[in-house]
Amino acid sequence: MKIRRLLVKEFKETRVQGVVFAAVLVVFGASSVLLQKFIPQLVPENLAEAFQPSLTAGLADYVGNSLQMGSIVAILITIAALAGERESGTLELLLARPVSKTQIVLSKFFARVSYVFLGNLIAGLVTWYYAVYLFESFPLSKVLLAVVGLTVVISFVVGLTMIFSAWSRSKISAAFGSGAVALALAILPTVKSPYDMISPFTYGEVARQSLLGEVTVTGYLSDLGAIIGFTAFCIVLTIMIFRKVEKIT
Amino acid sequence: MNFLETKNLSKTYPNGVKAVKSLNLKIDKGEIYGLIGPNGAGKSTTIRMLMGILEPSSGSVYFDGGSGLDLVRTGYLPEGANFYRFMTIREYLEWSCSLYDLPDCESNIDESLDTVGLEDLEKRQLDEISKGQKQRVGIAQALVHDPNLLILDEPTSGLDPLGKKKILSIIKELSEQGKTILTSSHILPELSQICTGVGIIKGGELVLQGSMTDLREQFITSNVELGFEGPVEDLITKIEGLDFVSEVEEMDGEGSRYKVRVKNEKRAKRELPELVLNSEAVVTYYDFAQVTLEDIFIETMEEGVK
Repeated sequence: MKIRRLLVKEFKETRVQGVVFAAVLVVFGASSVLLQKFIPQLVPENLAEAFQPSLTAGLADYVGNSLQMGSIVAILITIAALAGERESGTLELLLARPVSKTQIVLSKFFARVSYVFLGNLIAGLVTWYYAVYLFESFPLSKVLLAVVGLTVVISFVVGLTMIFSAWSRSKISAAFGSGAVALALAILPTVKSPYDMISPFTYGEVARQSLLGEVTVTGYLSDLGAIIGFTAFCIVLTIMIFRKVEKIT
Repeated sequence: MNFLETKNLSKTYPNGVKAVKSLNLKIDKGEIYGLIGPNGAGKSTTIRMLMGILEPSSGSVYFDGGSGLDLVRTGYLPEGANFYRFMTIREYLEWSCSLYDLPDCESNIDESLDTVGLEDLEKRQLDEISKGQKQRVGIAQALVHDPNLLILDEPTSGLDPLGKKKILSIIKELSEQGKTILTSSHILPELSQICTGVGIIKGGELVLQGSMTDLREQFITSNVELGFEGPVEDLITKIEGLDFVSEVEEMDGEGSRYKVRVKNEKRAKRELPELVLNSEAVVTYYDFAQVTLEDIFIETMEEGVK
């Protein structure tokens, strides 16, 4: 299985980025619950009354923070996927091996998605631990559903960045391109627009809803399916661009 | 059909630049073929098209009777190759070899390291090695799956004389092992030491191609430079009439210095001095020099082939 060997190389190459991703999510995920609990003690007494520590609010913050920070770090760990190899001159040799461009793209995508999942899982477990420790008992299954939801949404950002990484000659242009499009797609659901359905972030709300028990199984699966569809589209587009760009220039 | 052959291979980049124009390469099995040309002549574009990395605008590549290059049977070293810095030399070779689905990579890796003389450095990180060592790793990774054909793009580029010598001796050794090698360079003297076949490329066109022996026979001639005092028209007419003389060129415009290009070196050495000394001309200068393949290359680059 050549894709497995390509994956092994990707895991080795991106292990530092994977650790950074997990660390960022743990810090921002766990701090959401911690801040919810301790803000009343950190602010002046006259303001403390306005803050009523709530596990629900803490968990909602955890999802929001994980989504925002996870998306930013996902862009950063993905921009080098193809643009970095092109920039450093290692791509030429990779293309001379008996491996297809589809295998190359998929190995790079799945290696990063694995780190996204692991980072989210660790952050989710840490957040759950603090939630139970500081507040009250909370079902782990709901946290795991949110972890899957977050992984799916952030994987879309990885897929989106892959397009720009395949297209660009440099990591910087890949970062700007994917950052701009990701930002535009993230803003779309916040404004009343008939076009918000085309943004995967519209369906990203499912992660928060699953954590707070506000979604049915069918709703959860259909929303995740929509995001996976968007991501698959990104990957197919990446493969097409990668094939075209490398063949003509 | 040759072992590796291209038919009317052409490449026009999207910006309209015609990098390679209707190239017909012919490389025999076991040959060390030197693709030679100045920077920007289209060598790397040609090689990238052979490897299937770049799509030709038109034309085809044939390898061992089939269409297109078989990557499993081809080893490749690109110009200025870079490797994954987070791996050691051995790890990189192991990973490279694993992509070819071979039953036993370990012995191939040992053999490759032995060929390029890097056995002692196999645990060295790839970001800790010199440029010369890097080129040797490049050759080792190209060899690790035991290919029949090796394509080496500017393998000696940027190396010191010792490094170049080492790489050239490795290429020669690989040829002795029966591998067919296509290598490129913009410096002919380097490759003329080892190549059995050569193709000179200029502005994307193949202006000269053949076996080294044929080219030497076809092109290598000698020059005789002559200097005189006084009128020598009669003598020059006689020299021009000799059947082993291909050209007489007046060098100074005053009729006192001439360059005589000869086709038969032995006869020229024997008969020309005799003719000159038996004439009434006063000879002030006589110099005999061989025209090398390097001279042909330079002439080709300056004027195009005659």
